[in-house]
Amino acid sequence: MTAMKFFRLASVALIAIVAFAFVSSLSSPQAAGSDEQNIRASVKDGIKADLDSYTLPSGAAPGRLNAAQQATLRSQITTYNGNHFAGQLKTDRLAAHLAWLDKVVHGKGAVYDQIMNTEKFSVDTVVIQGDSATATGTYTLHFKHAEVLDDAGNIATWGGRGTYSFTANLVRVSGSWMVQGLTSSEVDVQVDQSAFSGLDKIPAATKSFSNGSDSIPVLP
Amino acid sequence: MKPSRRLLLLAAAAVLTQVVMLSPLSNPQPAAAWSGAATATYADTHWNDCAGQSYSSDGYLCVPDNNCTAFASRALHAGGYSWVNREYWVGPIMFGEPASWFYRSASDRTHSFAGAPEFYDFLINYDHDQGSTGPGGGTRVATTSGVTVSQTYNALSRGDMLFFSYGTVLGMRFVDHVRVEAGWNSTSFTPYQIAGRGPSVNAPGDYADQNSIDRYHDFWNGVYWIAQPQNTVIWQVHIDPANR
Repeated sequence: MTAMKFFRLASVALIAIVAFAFVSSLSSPQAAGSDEQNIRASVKDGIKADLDSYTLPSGAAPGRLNAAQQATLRSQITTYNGNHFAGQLKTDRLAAHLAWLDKVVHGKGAVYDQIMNTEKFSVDTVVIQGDSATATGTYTLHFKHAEVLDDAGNIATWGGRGTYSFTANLVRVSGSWMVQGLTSSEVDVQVDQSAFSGLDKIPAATKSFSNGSDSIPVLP
Repeated sequence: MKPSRRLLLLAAAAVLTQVVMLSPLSNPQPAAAWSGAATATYADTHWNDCAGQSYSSDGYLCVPDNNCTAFASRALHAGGYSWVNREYWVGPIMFGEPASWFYRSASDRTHSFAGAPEFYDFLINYDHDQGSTGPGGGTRVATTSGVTVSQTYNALSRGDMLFFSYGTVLGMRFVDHVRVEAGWNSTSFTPYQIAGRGPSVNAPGDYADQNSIDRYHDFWNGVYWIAQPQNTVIWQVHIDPANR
């Protein structure tokens, strides 16, 4: 091969590489943009479903759920976990929700939400790496929790309005983005005194340790 | 460079490395045994030191986003739990985990000083008390899965540590937050008081101090501030008084 021929071939190859890179640079933002939209939607839907998952259906009360209500709740739990979560998070959440349902059916000890309104939801950052992604953001809630204190059905309630930050890890499963990791932390919460009731009905207890003293025994 | 000079430099580097390995930490090592009461007293005294400040009143860096653990580390050390440096390299904070836990300056500190998961690993795994309570200087004595208002008391003494996990990251449950057990009381629920970021509990039960968000004597499990109490897990870690 002459030097001139080599130079021409190299030039053609270089032009082809530049052209490929140019086309790639045009196409990848569109793909990333589409992915980002899907991720934002998946995160929002997943977290909202998760937040709403401890609210009882209208007319249902802990310790007094009929068979149909139990079946509805169990179906909802299975469906929403399958629709939004993947991996260990899905396993953990499913186990936690089913354990929660058992408590709700039993009554005493169940903690459930009387109010859980998502007032604001913002996905601030999305970072995509192939088939995994991380999204961060904040949400603002108005909430009122309740705990069944005893077999008589006495409840204590408390609540507030707060903003929480979240980090969600996502993975693409069969073309859909699923949440596989989720953690949140308090940014700013103000309690709502009007939501408080029944705290004086909490059974009395005293501080004690397994050795009966006022300090923890040294473990073997 | 002449071979003799190169050898000389290598020898000097080796000596310097030894000096770095053996040099005591600049913070004084507490001589007395660790005291939970002293840790709790520090927490009660310094709980809002970092509010709007770059450094605490006793000269520690206030670590943005991770000050809960920095606060707990400071309290533990103030109670007599000595810093540990078991690594060869003590410069960049990327090194020396989890067998190290110290703060020498704002730029010379371990991840375990201000990182909740690393602090937990250090307490549980590093044999600081030389076998008194098993492999770690701290022992996980109880786990609380799901927090409620009726969990009046926990299994801890003053100065012990409460590690919170709010969720799952990449398939694993990590430590997200830490508080210092400050004590307990038996006062009435009535009237119940929660006052924003200041003194925030007037109820029977254990109470804890924390930084970022700064809280003093808050109900130990933080239930009043948590959006999903059902998903919260607390690992209760008792610090063995044999530590020093």
